[in-house]
Amino acid sequence: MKFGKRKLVMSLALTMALSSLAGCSGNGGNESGGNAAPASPAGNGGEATKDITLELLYWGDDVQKKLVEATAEKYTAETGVKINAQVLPADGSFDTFIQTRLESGELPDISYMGEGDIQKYNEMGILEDITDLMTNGSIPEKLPAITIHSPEQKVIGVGLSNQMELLFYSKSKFDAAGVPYPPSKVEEAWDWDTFLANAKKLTTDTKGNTAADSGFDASMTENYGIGVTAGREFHHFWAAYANGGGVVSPDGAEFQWDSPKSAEGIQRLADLANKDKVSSAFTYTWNSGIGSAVDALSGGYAMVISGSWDLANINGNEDIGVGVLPKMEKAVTMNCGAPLVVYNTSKHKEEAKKFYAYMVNPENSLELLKTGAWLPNQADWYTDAALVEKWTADLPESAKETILSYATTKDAIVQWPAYYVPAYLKMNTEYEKSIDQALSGQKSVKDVYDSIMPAIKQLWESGKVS
Amino acid sequence: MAASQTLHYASIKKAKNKTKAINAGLILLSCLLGVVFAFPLYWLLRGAFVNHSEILARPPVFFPGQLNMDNFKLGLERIQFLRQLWNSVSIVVPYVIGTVLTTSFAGYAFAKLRFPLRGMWFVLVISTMMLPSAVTLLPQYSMYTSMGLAGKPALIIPAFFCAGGNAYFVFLLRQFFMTIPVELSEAAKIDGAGYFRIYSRIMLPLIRPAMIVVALFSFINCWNEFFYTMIYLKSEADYTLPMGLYIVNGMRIPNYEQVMALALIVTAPCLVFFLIGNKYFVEGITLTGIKG
Amino acid sequence: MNPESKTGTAPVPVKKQIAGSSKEAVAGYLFAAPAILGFLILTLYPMLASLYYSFHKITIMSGSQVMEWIGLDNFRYIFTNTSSEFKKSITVTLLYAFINVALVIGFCLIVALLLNRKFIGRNMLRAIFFLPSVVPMLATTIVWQMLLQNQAKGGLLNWLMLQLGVAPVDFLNDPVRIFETLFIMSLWTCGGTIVVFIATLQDVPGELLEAIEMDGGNAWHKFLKVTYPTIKPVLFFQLIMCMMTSIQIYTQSVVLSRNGGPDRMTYFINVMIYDHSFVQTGMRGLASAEAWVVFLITMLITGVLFYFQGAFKKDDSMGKRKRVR
Repeated sequence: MKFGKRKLVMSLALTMALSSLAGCSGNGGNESGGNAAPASPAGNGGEATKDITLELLYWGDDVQKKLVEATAEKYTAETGVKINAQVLPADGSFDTFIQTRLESGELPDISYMGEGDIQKYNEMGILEDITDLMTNGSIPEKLPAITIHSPEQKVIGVGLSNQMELLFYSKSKFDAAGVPYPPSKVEEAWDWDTFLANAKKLTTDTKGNTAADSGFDASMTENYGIGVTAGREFHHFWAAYANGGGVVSPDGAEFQWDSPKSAEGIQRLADLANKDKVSSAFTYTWNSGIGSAVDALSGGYAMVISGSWDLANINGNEDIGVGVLPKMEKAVTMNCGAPLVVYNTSKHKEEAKKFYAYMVNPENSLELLKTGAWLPNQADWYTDAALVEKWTADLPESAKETILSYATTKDAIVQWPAYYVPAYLKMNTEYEKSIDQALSGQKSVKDVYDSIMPAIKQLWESGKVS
Repeated sequence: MAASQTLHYASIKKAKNKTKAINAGLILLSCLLGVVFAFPLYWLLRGAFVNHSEILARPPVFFPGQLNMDNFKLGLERIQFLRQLWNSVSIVVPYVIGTVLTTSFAGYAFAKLRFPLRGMWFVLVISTMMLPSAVTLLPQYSMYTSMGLAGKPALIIPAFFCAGGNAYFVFLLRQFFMTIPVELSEAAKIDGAGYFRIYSRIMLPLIRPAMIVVALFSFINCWNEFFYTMIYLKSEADYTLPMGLYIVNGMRIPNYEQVMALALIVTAPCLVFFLIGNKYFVEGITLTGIKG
Repeated sequence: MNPESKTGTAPVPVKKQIAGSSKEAVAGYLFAAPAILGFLILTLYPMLASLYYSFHKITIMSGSQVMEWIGLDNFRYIFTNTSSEFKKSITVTLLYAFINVALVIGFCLIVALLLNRKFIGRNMLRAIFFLPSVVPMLATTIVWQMLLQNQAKGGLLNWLMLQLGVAPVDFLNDPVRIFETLFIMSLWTCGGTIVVFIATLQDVPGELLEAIEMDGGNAWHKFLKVTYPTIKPVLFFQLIMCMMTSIQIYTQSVVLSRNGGPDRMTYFINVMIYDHSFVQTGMRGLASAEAWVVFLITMLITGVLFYFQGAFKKDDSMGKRKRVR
């Protein structure tokens, strides 16, 4: 007992001793680590803009990485502003890095941002208002679906790209089963029953029976009719909207998540694996899926629902086709597309904003657009034939048709609620705690919804991030 | 009496035969188990050398048609390899040095030197082995952050304070020091040697095998560290090799054959050190006092 | 108490001991300084600070954190709030830890007993069993993920099962099966313990084993009467260490699914606390409270283990002195 106090005093004294000691080694660490160096004022005190270095944090795969690096280099060549581009994992942990940077006071000047996180950081007050870039014409009109507003209607971010959920399929597998390819026009979308019937024909067990045959043994399934690359958020919500329900209405005014139609839509998705046995199991995670859609299609899947970025994996593979998602009540897809933001803690806000305008210009991400990794974030790039030609030339014909059909059909793309619902992150966190019970078939979606929706609705009603 | 004796012998002989058969069976079983254990390593190796169409192919490709070295080239291009290798090395080297130095200091002190409250300090230091790291996580994080050390230094510093699980090594080395007869140091003391001299000239050479074990284990621990690197390393340029692997694995286009090649590269140093140190691992564990 | 006094040939003269002691005490503290400082700065202080944090709501602002005293609210939240996942998290963690410890200790003991006989290739086998334990857990998880995934994705094990006419198993998406995956990986990487057990088994006195054999005792008797008492301290030590590493499982969960899926069955304590500390905002006080509850629970578990080992007073696992057998 007596020691207690003494120890405490001692430990405090020692802590202080350590901190002085640490002061020395800290400098050394920074020098060699170099991560704080670009932002430090020492490097550019009173010098010309030439020596300005902007730090950009982003995520992406190798293609994106090369492109971002090339874009940054090009920008440096044109303006003299150096870009220190740092790539981070594209697995949903990006936010963690921003948060720790925030805490240590080392925010970058500019960064990608998770769709679901932007409202949170806006509420923390660290995001720069970029409305002026829009009004002064530095940034031409972007797709409304990926232009992100704060609750006060300031523009706080623009999506670098547009992405949407698509249906990928393997032509050879369809041919072998004698099933017609999925349509690539929204108005011709398969209804759910057709989709299911075809998926059954494409699901086979080891004896060669299809799920449509009577002797089918689901426990010995060798090939699946359908798979999903990820089971989370927009990969999941589209079904609620397709069934005439939703999460929150597009104007943000109405909570639709607890409606029977939403539950039924999600139930249909869950049933694919559990009841209809045409899909392998999936849960509410980013990576419970099957790697890339193309890998899955060359493996044991005939159709895969995945994001449009998977177009980049096709790489001229003639076997891969792309179509519209099946419809339930409506034929819709959901979009996403990570925004880029400027931090108001930046020491070079103006330069950062200029770089921002440069980055979101589709012209400067043409390489990614051509591969299909990104879709353009600007409306005229879908309608102006010359512009369309710029990025669709290398894509499979079916993919081009599908994307343009979605883009030009009214209300065919629903916006991911992450963009406009301030409490989205909290709601989703609450949702992911229980939804796997329904996706794994232990409970019905309705039962899960009945128990979680009141709390989620409350979070929505609070209208706040935290 | 005699009859029962011979009967007894016969039964022993029979039992011996039976034991032999059982023995052979058990050896076979252990070999089979060995194959099962070795297989995933082979699969890792295989994965690094097959091409993209083979890696997930059905039926599986057990032996790649030709050794595909491109995976390594492409895999390395996806991370800042040299940078991250340097990061790993520049964390591991001071970490191992710090661990070996300070744990052997502490082991020596707790085993051979008498000082007030020695027992209490020893128990306290050792008890950190049983502490869930989460309970010290956030204050440590804030401490390092406020000192501007929330980066590489935060991963190295614990090694110089016998912290971060190194109490285990303190314990191990203390056990080792205890096996050294006290006469040795007494003789040196009479010759007028100071304590540091006794430590460096007499003790160190004697506990070298144990120090090598500690060095090898701390190397592997530090090289494989994931939880704390996730917390403290905040940009690609700061990442260690395992973090580089983690990123590539998390990409939307993982290309698993490249992931496997990277995984092999990340694993290689551990395997090499294991092969070098195999003898010491086994001897060290046998010799040291984990055995109580 | 002091080993020196036992092993020394003659008792050191009392006078000399006193004369040397102050110098020795200084030297002792100097040598032990890193460990003692480490304990104070990197363990004791953070623990107390963490307790202090646990009574606060902590919000991160740019470059700092703001703390607001909220008393016991965090603890109340942990135990009463329906959104709190603490109970589920600690349940799955302990469930994993207990089963895993039993599996690992049992398996390692069996393998060690298997290898504890002379045959050619024994050393190689021992190396093979040890090798996986030096492979980074990250790589381990990636490899096993490839082996265990769905047959349609090219998962090897499930594909083989399918060829043999056995129904494949969903190792990665099924809320219960995911534990099997974790156990498999854990057993694959337990080579260190196997080596320790093999080393310990060398100490089992052969004469005693033979004596029991002569008395007509079977293998089980031998194990119970001779082997077990010999290896008991080591067994106990390994058990405690294994318990601690099992409770702190993290990497496997994060690589397999980044949100503790499926159905939060891998939302282990460390995953949750990481989540609450660095992913979600304003939950650091809560994370500290959770960490403290976990700390108390671990203390309780180790206390119970020590109690049953009967080692509270004279714990040989702490290596006070080698027991005479």
